[in-house]
Amino acid sequence: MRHFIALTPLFLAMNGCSDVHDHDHDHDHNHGVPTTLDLTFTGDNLAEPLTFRWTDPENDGSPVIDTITLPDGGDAAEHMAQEYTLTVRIYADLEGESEELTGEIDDDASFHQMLFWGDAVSGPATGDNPDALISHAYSDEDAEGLPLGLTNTVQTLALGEGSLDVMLRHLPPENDVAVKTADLAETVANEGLEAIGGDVDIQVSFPIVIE
Amino acid sequence: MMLAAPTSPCFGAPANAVLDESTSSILQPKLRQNVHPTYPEGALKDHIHGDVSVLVDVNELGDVLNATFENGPTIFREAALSAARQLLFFPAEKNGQAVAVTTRVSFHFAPPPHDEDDLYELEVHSNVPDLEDTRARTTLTKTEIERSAGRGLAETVNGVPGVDISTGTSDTGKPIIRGHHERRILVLYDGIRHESQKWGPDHGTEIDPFSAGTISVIRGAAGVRYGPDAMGGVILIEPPPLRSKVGVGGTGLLAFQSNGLRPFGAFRMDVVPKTAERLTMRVEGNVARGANRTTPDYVLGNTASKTWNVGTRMRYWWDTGTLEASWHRHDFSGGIFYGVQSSSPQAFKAQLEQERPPTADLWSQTYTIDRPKQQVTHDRATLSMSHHGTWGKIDTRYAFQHNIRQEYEQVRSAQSGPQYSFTLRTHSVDSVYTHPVKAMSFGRLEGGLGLQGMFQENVYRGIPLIPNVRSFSGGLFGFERLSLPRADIEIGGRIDGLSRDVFFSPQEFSKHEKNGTLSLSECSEIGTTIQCANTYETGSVTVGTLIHAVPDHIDIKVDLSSANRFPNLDELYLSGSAPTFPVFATGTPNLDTETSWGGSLTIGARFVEFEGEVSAHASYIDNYIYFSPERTADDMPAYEVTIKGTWPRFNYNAVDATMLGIDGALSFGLHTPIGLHLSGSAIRGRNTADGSHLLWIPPDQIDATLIGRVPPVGALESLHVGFTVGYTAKQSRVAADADFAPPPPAFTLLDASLEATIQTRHVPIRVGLIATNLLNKKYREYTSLLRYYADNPGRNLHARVGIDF
Repeated sequence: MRHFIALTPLFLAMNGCSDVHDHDHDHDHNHGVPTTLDLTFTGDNLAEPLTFRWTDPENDGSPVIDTITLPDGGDAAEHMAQEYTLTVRIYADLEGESEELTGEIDDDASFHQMLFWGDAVSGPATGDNPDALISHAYSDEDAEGLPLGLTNTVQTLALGEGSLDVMLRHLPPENDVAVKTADLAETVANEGLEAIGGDVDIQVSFPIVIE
Repeated sequence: MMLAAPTSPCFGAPANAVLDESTSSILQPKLRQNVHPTYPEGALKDHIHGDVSVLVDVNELGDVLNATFENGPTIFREAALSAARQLLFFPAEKNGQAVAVTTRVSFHFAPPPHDEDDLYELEVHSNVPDLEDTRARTTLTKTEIERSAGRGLAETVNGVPGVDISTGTSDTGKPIIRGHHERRILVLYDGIRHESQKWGPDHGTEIDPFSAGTISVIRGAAGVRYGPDAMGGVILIEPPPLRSKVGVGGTGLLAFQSNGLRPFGAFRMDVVPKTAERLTMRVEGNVARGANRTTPDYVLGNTASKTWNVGTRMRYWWDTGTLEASWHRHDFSGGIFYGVQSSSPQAFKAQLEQERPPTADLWSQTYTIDRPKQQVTHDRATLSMSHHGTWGKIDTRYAFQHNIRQEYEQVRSAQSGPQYSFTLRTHSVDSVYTHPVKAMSFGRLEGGLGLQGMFQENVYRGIPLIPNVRSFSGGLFGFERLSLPRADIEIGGRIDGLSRDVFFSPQEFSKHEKNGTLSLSECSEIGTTIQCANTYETGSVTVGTLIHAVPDHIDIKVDLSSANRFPNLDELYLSGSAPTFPVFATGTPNLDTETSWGGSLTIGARFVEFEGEVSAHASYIDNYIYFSPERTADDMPAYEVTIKGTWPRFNYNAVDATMLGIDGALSFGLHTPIGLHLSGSAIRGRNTADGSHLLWIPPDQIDATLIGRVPPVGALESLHVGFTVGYTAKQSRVAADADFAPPPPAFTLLDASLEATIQTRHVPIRVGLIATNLLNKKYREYTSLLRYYADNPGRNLHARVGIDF
């Protein structure tokens, strides 16, 4: 065995400079793994935009999740609809400095779509929901005129608590044919997520309170 | 120049009074080592067939002292005498004592249909009881290997009883032997352990079947001779024997598969120069290209692939040894099925109930390999030397293997390069000393000692998944085999050790700290790297016997063996989600060595029109490492909340397990116009702690093949047709709630084949047409990863043409 161990330098030499203890090469690549999702609400009733965050910067299953709290247009006694503009921003924190990915998604808008659903939501991806606290509508579109979902319109429908689920669906073409379709969100509403193509880049759930 | 040795010698009672009168009470000498005679070039021109009878004097040790030509075409006289003088026997016996006798040996000569490689082919036949191994062992012939031209190793060995295939979501497959998946199988090419990232469900075995002369599948634990991992069995791949006569020879093969429009071409050439008769050089290569495969209903999007292999080999021999060097490169690129979605467990489960993937209508039969995809390059360089003398024989091999695996996910266009990159570098030295055969009055003793050493580095780059590793391992083993006239007894023992250093980035290490599976007190911090060490030592033993219950007809093999496996890197340190399963997987760093204790009883029979082998086996596996759902402290399912959804946590646990089963094959009518071949297997696996069934155990199956042999028609020879009905039962023995999808239903497939040799003036041409899933039936295989997403591929027609020159 001593002879065998004595061969180690030879093996290392044949391997070239051993890089087994070096992890720095990871920084050579931008893997672009999303770790943080920000939802920012702006409205004429707000002095400052409200931003709510879902983040797991280490991607190790210990997320910090904000509760979305939105003022209704009325008061505690009577509901009155309040409209907000919802913008989405996405960040990658795994590789040192936080890097914003929203621009990359916007550049690839034809291959992406945000989906919004949950027991507090009524919108294209949910269909009618009598218990909804908010309604959702897309306010932006890709080059083909299909919804994207980085900018949206949200309107309060009722007071209460519920959940808002958010998905970033990655929909690259398959065999050079577009997977993203005009009725993607409606298909989810009618047939479920399993009925659409593509991959999940982000799927998170926020608690939401309309007060 | 063509060589051939069409048959093994035959033995019969002498026709005249060559033997003394007492020979009637003598137990005739039994052939121990066969020798193939050389088909004379002079007979080739006239296509001469003939039988030659030779009388050989065999002494008390079984050696041939003299050989005398008795009758037959004189053109074969020298070739027959030369071969007869090299035969080795178990000595004849009279009243339990070895005695010298004269006996008759017959050689059948026929013009060579093939080249030297066929010496190998004719020596071994599928399903013929192997008379070397004390375990069930099947050797595939050159013809059987050619039937899989353009396919991978797993598909090539899939027809062996007790062997199954786990097909992936790419154009890859992994062999399963007796319910043991690739982690517990050892693959050796030319005596070298194949080292690759074999832990991933979509990581195929990067072996080129066309570079094999023979492929032997040993079923059962064989840890002593072959080392760790040989728990379920061993696949031994030997390159075709190198040419030994001056001249040029080779093989060419073309094949095409209809499913996936897959052409395949292969070429091999051996050269022995006149100016250096002791030097042989070989070059070989092949290429296969495949478009997307198709199920009966739809195209399997992004299952196109491209494979190429190239290699060279040189051998120099001298009177007491050989020196050989080789290099081989295997390169594979393959798309990963579009239907493998990264989705939430709920969507994944709902998807399982769908008849077809949601975007199946978009897929077409294209050769384009798109993301997600994998790219693998495996280089293997070897240098080996064999030297023998009166002191025995020593074989030493050094090998360097360089395996690069890169996996590309579907990413935004701003991303480039692979998301996962693995580089595995392996240096190994294997040396075996075989002592001289010790001939005794009651038998012969063979055996030796072996030493194996390995240095390995695994470097990972990409989205954090596994750490980097450097390891040393070594093994020392000894074996002895006592060969008696009616039985062989083999014993062996082995010790192995592994020392492994693991290098974590702070981020990777923090995950284990969070899970409580590692702490800094167990490891050391060097700069920005945390280094942890682990060592394993283990031992294994084997005792086996091969009893010639009815000499030349019935053999019984009994084997008791143990084998070990050191935990794999992923089982210890994996942390992350796999693209193919919606689970969050974590390794368990304190796992110990797996050890299996098993036994098998194998009965083989050979008669003129019947042969077969059936083997029953049972094993107990201590510390069987098992991937299963994790439970919380209050025994609830554990979940991981990730930015891609809430996924169930799975981890690796050690349980104790039992496995038992039966497999075998029977052939009836070996030379009759109609023959029947049956093969099948059944395996049961249980977790002994709670009695639950193990996952991914292949279901029961049985195949029946009707073979029709057609007499030669003009230039067509060896013409035969086959129809196979294969039934695979539903795997009803599965643990509840341990799998995402219920096992697929039972299915029956019909295959057909037509094969022949066309004799031409210059070279014989081998042709074959094989149709699998002839009725284009829709089905899913329990052991296939693809079953979660789509149906298996449908009908495939495989045509091939091969020549030797």
